[in-house]
Amino acid sequence: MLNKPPNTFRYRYGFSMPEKNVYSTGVGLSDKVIRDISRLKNEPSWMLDYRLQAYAFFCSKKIPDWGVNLKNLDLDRITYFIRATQNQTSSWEDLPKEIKQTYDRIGVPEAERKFLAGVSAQYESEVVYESMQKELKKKGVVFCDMDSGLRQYPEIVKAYFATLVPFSDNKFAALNSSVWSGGSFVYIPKGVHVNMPLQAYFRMNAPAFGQFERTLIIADEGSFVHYIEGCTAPVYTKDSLHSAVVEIFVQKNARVRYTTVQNWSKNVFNLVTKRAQVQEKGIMEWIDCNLGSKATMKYPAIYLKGKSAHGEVLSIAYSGKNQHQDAGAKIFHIAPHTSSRIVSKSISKSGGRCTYRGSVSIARGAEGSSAFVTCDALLLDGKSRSDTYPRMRIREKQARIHHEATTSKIKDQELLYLQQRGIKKIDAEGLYINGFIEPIVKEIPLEYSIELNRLLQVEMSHHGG
Amino acid sequence: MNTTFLHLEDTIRKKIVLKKKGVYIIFFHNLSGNLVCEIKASRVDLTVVGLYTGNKMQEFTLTTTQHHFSPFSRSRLLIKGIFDGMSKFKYSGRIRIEKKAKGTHASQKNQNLVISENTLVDTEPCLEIMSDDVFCTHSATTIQPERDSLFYFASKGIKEKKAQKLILRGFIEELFEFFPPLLHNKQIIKLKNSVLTRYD
Repeated sequence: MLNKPPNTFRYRYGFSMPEKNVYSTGVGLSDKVIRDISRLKNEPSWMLDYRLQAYAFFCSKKIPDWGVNLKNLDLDRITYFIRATQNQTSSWEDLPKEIKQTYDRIGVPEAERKFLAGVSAQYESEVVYESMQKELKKKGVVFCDMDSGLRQYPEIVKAYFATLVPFSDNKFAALNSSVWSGGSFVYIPKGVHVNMPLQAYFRMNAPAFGQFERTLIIADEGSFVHYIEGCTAPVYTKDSLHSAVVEIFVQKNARVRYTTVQNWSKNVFNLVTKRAQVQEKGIMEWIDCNLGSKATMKYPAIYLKGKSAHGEVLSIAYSGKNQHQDAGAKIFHIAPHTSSRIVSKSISKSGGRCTYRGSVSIARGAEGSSAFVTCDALLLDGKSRSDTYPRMRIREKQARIHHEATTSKIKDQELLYLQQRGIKKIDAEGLYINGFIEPIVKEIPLEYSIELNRLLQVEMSHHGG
Repeated sequence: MNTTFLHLEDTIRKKIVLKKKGVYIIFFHNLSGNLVCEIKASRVDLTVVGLYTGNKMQEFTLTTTQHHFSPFSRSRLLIKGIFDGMSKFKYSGRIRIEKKAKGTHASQKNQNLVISENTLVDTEPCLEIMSDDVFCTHSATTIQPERDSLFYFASKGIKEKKAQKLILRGFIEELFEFFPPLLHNKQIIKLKNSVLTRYD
């Protein structure tokens, strides 16, 4: 029944490959770096203007003093752009040996064969591999990297780009807007259901590197798509930075599910801005698993703009030694009869710190709206810390808002109950944790949930031993 | 154990340090301010009860802190509010458990009933927990009187206005049940009656 956890824990994705690149802007950020990136990509002039405007805004803003500790983040020592290969390919065999080996070890080609409708793999700053099932292409589904998206569909990109997350949103959104590269562009035509997930893999290989992907997803009326992103990086002593911007447009009756399995190595600062806008009767679901990174600040947001729209944020955060996960959710109920649900589970261990920071707003006129928030935190030892900062703003009488939160340790009675049945303490703890996160894990594709359970069990064995 | 009952009547710009074991009860009605309770002894059982009945242009801002320094104490907080007219309520409540405060049981609850279109309610609870051997909860709800309940009354021949009154009375009475049982003395009953007469 129970898998025996191995005795030692090792971050499986911490390996690195020799660094080879065809172009790098070098360390540091300046006007010139931004012009270089734009020139290399042959971008239209409006995009360069936008980048430069964003850069000016970025320089004028201070590093936020709330949330995670960003004092050790040295923005001058980071390389902002690295091109790893000359051309993008749709065959794993054509990739340079080191890159192919990397993805083999992460298990991407295998996953693609088994259960994915399309894969995009980003290595350093750009997408190196991309492929999608032929049937989907015929139906008009677009799944490509953002750079190609801008080249091939300039009108669509210009109409939607940065309308949900303008560069003036926050300092790191401005940074992303000025040096963005890679990410995914997804368009699902009216009424098309993509039954198998589309997946993007993000990999950083170089040390002290910054990855700034930009993702835009548009789900047209009545369509459905499940997009998954996975992130890993090698373990280095120097800190890296990952700062993405994701914008999602869910049109009438459409549904988008966005799953993140964030498993960066523990030297990565992960500062991400994610936002979705939902029209009438649309559904947006963020499923957010934060396991890795040194420090994460991520608050996926949903604007419920159309009548009867629905939004969900389900998240798991795990913080081990020297980690701080500052994650949460923001939901804005703007239209009548909208509903939302936030379920957040966090586990802190060995001095790690998990923070839930959320906000639910009900605007005047959003009558008959309902919001439900629940945050549960588990503290596994006396060194760890857990915080909960939910916020609710209600401007409408006909609305129902519920919030609840609990923080506790694993209950002795429950461990005793399992131990009485001959289950070792360490396994019992593992079972307890699996049960604790089960409501969210069951929403993730099977392949990932096995991986997640295994990962947590291994971490737990470390704890017990 | 000693029982101390504190009825705050004019302001709650206050820091209360509890250094002795015992049962402590704090009650206030329609007051703005900042209440800090520092629990610096074991076997403290603290209950904080706040009631708000806002109407017209009334505005309330409340901040509470339940700060646990010592092990094996308990604190419970319940804030209930009924908001009518153009009344406003901003509440931020905080529970902080220091590392030494093992075996703490702390809870915080805020329930708001909104009965007018033009009210404004903001709640901002937060938990900061540095110790593992604790149990902490907080919850907040903001709703209007349930249609189902109104329908139930209507089906029994009770008019909507009367039904609304009964619901509000029930909502307030719940608050008085939150006091520890040993305190159901004359003082509380008097208090309860004086509040409830508003809804007769």
